[in-house]
Amino acid sequence: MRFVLYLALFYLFLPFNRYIDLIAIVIFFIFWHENNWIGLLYALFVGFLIDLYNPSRLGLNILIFLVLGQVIIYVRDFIVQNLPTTIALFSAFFLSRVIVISLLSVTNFHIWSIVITFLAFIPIYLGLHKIVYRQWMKT
Amino acid sequence: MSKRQLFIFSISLVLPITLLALKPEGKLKVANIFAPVLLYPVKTITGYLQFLDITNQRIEDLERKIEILKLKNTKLGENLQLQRDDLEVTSFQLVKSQIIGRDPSNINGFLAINKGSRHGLNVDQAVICSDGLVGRIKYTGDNESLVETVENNAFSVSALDARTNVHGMVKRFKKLQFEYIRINDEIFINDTVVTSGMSDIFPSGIVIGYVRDIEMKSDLFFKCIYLEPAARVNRLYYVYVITNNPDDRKMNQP
Repeated sequence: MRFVLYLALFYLFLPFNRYIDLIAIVIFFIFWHENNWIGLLYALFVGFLIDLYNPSRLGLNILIFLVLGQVIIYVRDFIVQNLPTTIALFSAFFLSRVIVISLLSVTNFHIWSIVITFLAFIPIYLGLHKIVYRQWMKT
Repeated sequence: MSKRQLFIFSISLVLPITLLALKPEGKLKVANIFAPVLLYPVKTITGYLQFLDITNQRIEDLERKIEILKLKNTKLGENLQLQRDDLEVTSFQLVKSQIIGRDPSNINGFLAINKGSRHGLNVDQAVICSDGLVGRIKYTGDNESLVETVENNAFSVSALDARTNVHGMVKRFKKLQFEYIRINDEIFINDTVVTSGMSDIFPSGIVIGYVRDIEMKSDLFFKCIYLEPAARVNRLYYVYVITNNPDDRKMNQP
C-alpha cells in the first residue's frame, strides 16, 4: 500500500517540483527506509518522470537519483537513524543533487526553492514516517 | 553491496547515460513516446487546475462586467427618468391635418387644412410641423380650418433665445423679426429662437426660427434681429395641430 502512496505523492508533487523539490524528500525517504531493489526501481521511475517533464535534460535525474540513492543505501548500514543524521544526510543528498544539476545542465541556483525545500523537509519526512510506520521517528 | 547488486546497478546506469548521450531530437522522440502515458495523471491534474484558474478569471471578468453594467444601467435609468420628465412636458395631443388650400393673395400667409371643430380643433390652437412652428388656427369650420402662418404679416408670438433665455417678441413685418432685444443682450447669428410659453396659444419650446441678421438701429435701446423661419411653409403638405397646451396643465397643477 505504501508503494502506491509513494507513486501518488510523486504525481502530486511533480507539477510543483520547480518551486519546491518535494520529490527529493520522498525519494530520500524511500532510499533511507526501503530495501535496495525498491530504491533502485523508484530512482529509475522518478528520475525518468522528472526528465519527461523537462525532456531537454532527459536521463540526468535518473543518473543522479541512481547514484545518490545507491550512496545512501550503502552508507545507511553504517549510520544510526535519528533526526540529526537524517537531516545531515538529506542536506548532503539534496545539495549534491542541486549542484550536479546546475553543473550539468548549466542552470542557476534557485535559492528560495532550496530554502523552502529544506524548511519543508522535517514536517514532510515526519508526516510520511507517521503514515507509513505509524510513528513519528524510528527509535 | 553484493556483486549482484553492483551488476544490476551498472546495468541501470546504461539507461541514463544512453539518454543523456542522445541528441535533442532523439530526446524529444523518447519523451513523445512515454510522456502521454506516464504523465497522464499530471496532465489531468494540471489541466484541471488550469481550468479552475481560467474559470476563476472568467468569473472575475464577468463580475467586473456586471458592476460596469450595473453602473451603466443606473445612469441609463436616470437618463430615462429625465427623458420621461421631458416627454411629460412636451406631451402634446396632436391632430394630423392635410393642407388642402392656400390663399391666392397671400400664398404662404394662410393655409386651409382638412380638420375642423368636429376633430377637436379650435381657434388659437398652435400649428406645428417637424421643423417647428407653422402658425395658429384663425378660423374653424366643421371639417376645415384656416391657419395663420408665421409668414403672414402681423403674426406675432412671445419668444426667447434658446441659448441665452433672452425674452422678446417675434413679429412679422415683411420679414420675421425678433423684437424688444436690448442692444447689450447677447444674441448671435444662428441662435435658435423658440416660443416662450408666455401666451395661452403657444406652448413653450417650439422652434420659431434662427437668427440670420442683426442690425443696430438708430434706436438707443433695442437692436433689430431678423429670423429665418424654421418651418418652410411653402413646402408643407401636412401639419399638426396642438389641441392641448401642456403648459396650462402644468400651471393648473397644485
